[in-house]
Amino acid sequence: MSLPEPVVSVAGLHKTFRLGFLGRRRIEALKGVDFEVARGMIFGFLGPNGAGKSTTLKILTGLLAPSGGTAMLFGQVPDTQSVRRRYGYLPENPSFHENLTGREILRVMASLLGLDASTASRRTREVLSVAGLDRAADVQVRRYSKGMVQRLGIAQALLHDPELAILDEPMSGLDPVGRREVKELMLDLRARGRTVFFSTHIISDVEELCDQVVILVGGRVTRQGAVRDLIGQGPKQYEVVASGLPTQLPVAPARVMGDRQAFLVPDEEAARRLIEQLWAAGARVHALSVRSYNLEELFLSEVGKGPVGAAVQLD
Amino acid sequence: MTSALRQVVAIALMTFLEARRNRITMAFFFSSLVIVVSSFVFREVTTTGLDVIVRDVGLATIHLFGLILAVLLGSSVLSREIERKTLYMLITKPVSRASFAIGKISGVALTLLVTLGLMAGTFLLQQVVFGAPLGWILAQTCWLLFVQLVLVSCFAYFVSTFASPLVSAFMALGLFVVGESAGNVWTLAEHAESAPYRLLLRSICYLFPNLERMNLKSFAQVLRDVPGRTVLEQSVYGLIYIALFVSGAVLVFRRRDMK
Ligand SMILES: Nc1ncnc2c1ncn2[C@@H]1O[C@H](COP(=O)(O)OP(=O)(O)OP(=O)(O)O)[C@@H](O)[C@H]1O
Ligand SMILES: [Mg+2]
Repeated sequence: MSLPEPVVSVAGLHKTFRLGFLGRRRIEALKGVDFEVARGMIFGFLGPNGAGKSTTLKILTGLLAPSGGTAMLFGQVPDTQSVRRRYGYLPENPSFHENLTGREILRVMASLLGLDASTASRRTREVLSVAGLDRAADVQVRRYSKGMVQRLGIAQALLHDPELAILDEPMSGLDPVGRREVKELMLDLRARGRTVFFSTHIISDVEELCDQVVILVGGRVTRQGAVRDLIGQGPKQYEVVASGLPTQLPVAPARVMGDRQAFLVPDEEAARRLIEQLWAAGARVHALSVRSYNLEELFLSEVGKGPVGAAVQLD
Repeated sequence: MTSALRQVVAIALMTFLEARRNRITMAFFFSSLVIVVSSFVFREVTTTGLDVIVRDVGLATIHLFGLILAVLLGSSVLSREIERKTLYMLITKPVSRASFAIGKISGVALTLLVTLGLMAGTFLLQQVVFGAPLGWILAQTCWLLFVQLVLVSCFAYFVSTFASPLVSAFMALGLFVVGESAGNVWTLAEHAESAPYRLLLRSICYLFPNLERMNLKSFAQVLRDVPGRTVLEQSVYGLIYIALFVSGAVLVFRRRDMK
């Protein structure tokens, strides 16, 4: 049985920006990126500022041409109209024609998507309501708040109910309610068999939503795989929280919170010994918890390895 | 309508709407109307050839304000999209870059058509109200001014696909000045002493569109009609340059990285 064709596949992707007089300054934003996104999942694209996430997404949507390697959507080069009908794209910090209203903008987009008049007006209504913009639909965009603009960006990406949603930092600029709504929207898309590919630098969003994740640092993929596997990979730690300690401590605390101190030990046996020692010394033990290695620590250790952002080189 | 044509129309209408709601464009447009209307004050101060002067001022106002609008819109309409990234969400829709680029400049042409149409309408109305003699030449002049200004605008648009809006605006003004003095340049070439200089001036004449012949203001001044054939010829001549500039813009825009 052959594997289903990936929705997004990127192989050996390079991008070098040339700047300055005659392109003498070069920025290598992508240095050979490989990954694949399978159908029907929420796929996280995680990386610090300047890692090359937006650059990768712009190549996938045909806004930028790669300097090397290939980027494919649905097994085809991305820059064709038949492929474009199948995905929706939210750029980072979307911006719209300020003097048009949300509804007018969606109407233009619907014509570009080739939706017929009745589908266009029905879908416009639907996405406006999903994005929570019903009441702002006939207001000019220059009167929108930052979060409302972001919501309109999401609405236009989903206007034709595409198979694949490519979202560049979809939660940016949204309040907690908005973030929750967008997360639920993404889960709903997955439940309806759609694929969501989104970039972020917020680790908890990835832990909460994603099936798979790629970690991009300095234009290179440093880790990729199922979120559950990545989290399970690292060592577990036991944390003991105690107060009323004698000055003579058996081990140095990992952190101090007011009058409480937390100790980290590698295994259960060490935790038991530590607790006994603490009790013997007359301290009070408040909590014992198991901390699994989380994505944040993994991410920070990956980021620590490579330089943040791309270095500028001179020819 | 084919889907590509539908897309071009959608983008053109969006561009027109955006220009119509732009305060600067609007303020500009209304001030030109005020000048056109108030040019009748010259009737009060002049006693002879009064209609000639009023016609002159009216048409010159239309031409000048139209030129500024054409250059402003042509040079900024695409660069603003790129700079403010509003086109990211448009060109990642199933629309070709060619349709997008043609749609944008068609929107500019539509804006110029409506603006010049309203200015010309106001001007003609003013002539009627004050009982000035009318002639076909007035409409002919306004039409060819429109073609000329669309040509200038398309040139600004073409340059703006690879240069900054400011550079594009200046280049377009340059084209206008040289094109409007085509006759003088030709005369200069005839009388040029040195051969290389003559060659330079002649090539300018061949390369630059002759905008002077699209300007019928001197005929309008004295209300002398020109044959319809001339108007048609000049329209086709302008259209060829327009097609050339728009094709150039499409070619550059198609290859561009949207940084
Ligand atoms: N238009 C451009 N010209 C020159 N360099 C660029 C351009 N766009 C991006 N870069 C460079 O490419 C690198 C990657 O940028 P990119 O925007 O892809 O990062 P990112 O991962 O999306 O970061 P963020 O989380 O801040 O959005 C950066 O070093 C940036 O300076
Ligand atoms: Mg980014």
